[in-house]
Amino acid sequence: MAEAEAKLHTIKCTQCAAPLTLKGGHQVRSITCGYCGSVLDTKEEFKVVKQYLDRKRPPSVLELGMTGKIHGVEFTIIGVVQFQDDEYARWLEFLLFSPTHGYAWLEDDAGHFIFTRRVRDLPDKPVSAQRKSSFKARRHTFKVLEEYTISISYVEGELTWVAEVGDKVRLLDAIDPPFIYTVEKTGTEEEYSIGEYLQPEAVHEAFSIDFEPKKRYTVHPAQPYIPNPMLVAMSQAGKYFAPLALVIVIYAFFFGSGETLLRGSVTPVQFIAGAQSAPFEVKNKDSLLALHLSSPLKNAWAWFDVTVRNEQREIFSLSKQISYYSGYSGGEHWSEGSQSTRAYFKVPAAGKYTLLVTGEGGTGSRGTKPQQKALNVTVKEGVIVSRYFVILLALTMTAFLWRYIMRWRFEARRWETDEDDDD
Amino acid sequence: MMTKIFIVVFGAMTLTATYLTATDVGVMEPSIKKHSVRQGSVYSRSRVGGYRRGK
Repeated sequence: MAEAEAKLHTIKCTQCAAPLTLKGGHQVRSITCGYCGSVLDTKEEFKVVKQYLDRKRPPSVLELGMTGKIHGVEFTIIGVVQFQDDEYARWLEFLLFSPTHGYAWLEDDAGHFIFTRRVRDLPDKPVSAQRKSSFKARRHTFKVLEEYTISISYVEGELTWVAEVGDKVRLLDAIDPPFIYTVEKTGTEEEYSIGEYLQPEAVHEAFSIDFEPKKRYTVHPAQPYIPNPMLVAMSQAGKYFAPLALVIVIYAFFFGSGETLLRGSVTPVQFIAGAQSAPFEVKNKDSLLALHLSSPLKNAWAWFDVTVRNEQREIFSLSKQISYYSGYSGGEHWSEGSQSTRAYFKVPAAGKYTLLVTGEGGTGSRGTKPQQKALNVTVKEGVIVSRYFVILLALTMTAFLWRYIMRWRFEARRWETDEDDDD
Repeated sequence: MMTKIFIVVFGAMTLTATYLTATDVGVMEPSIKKHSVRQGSVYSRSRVGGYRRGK
C-alpha cells in the first residue's frame, strides 16, 4: 500500500524524465522540473507549457521537500518563486502545504522570514496607497507602507497556478509588526494575505537547519523591535536613578548657591596697590566657600591674586585670570574667554576673614595697563557643587533613553524605502 | 537579573557622587602663593595681531 502511495506521488518529467515528487495536494496546477526547467501543467496530463533553460537556483537555507512545524502545523515546502521589484531587489517565496491546513507561504528575504496565508478578512474600508494611512483587518490596525510592482524571476516545484517568469503582480503592503497585510492585484483580481514575521532562529529550528541564521543587515517592514536585554536592563535601572539625580541637581541649583558673606567691588587703582576687603564671617568651617570674580573686560585681560586672611595669618591664596576677547573677522563673529571666574575653598575654623586682592592686567595682547573696569568680588558660604550629580544624571539619563533611541532608529529604518534613498 | 546588576552599579555611582559632593572632592582650588606667569589671549594674538603689529 505504501509502495502504491509512493508511486502515486512520483512522476517522471515529461520533458527530461527526471523523477518529480508530488506532495502538494489537489490544488497544484503546475510543477516546474528542477532539472530541465520545464513547466508541466498538472491538469493537462503534465504537458510542457514552458521551459526555462540555463536557470540558476537562488540560494536559500530552505529547500524543496523540507518539512517543518510552524505554529504547531507541519508543512512541506513544495514550490518556490523568486520575485523581484523594480529596483531589482529579489526574494524567495516558498509554497508550503499541509494536508490538514492547506497552503501557505514562507518568504525568505535576506535572512528575514515571513509566514503568510491567504485570508478573507477584507479591510474595513477601501485601502488608499497613501503612506501611513491606516485601516483595520482581522483585529489589527495596519499602516500602509508602499505600493509597488513585482515580477517573477524564477520558479521551481509545485505551484497552485501556472507561473511564468516575467509575470507581474501589483502589491500593496501595510504593516502592524510583526504582521503584514498584503493586497495583491493581478488584472481585475484582488487577493489578500496576512503575513507574520518569524524570527530566523525559529525557522531554522522548525526546519531542522543545524547552522546559525545569517546576520540580518536590514530591517524588514514587519520585523518587530526586540530590544537588547542589556539595553532593557540599563533602561529599567536608569528609570529610577535618572529622576533621583535630576531632583538632586535641581535642588543644588535652587538651594546650593549659598549665603552671601561678602559683596564688593575693587577699582584697578585699588587692586594694583593691593585692596583689602571688608571682613566677613564664616559660620561653619566645613562648609564650602565660593569666591566669584567678575569684571566687564573687553579685549583685555587681568590676573588677580586673592589671599584669604584671618586676624593672624594668611589662610589661603589663589590666582585667577579674567580675559575676554571678541571681534569680527573672516565674515564671522568670534569671542574667547570669560568675564568672570570662580574658585572654591574652605577655611580651617569659623570666624572672621578678609580678602587681599592684588592684580594686574592689560588690553589687547601687548598692553600692560589694566582696563579701567572694576572687579566685582563675591564670597558665598554653604555652596553645593553639583557636578558629580550632573555626570550621574547624564549617565543614567543616557542609560534610560538609549533603548528608546535605538527603537526610534529601528522604526526609522523600518519605514525607509528606496524612494527615501533617492531623496 | 541584569536589571539588578545595573541597579547596584547606579546605586554605587549615586553613593559615590553623594560622597564626592559632600566632601567637596576635586572642587577646591589649590592654594598657591603667587601666579607664575602672565597670560593674555593666546587666540587673539593671531586674530588681533597684537604681537605682529609690534614687529
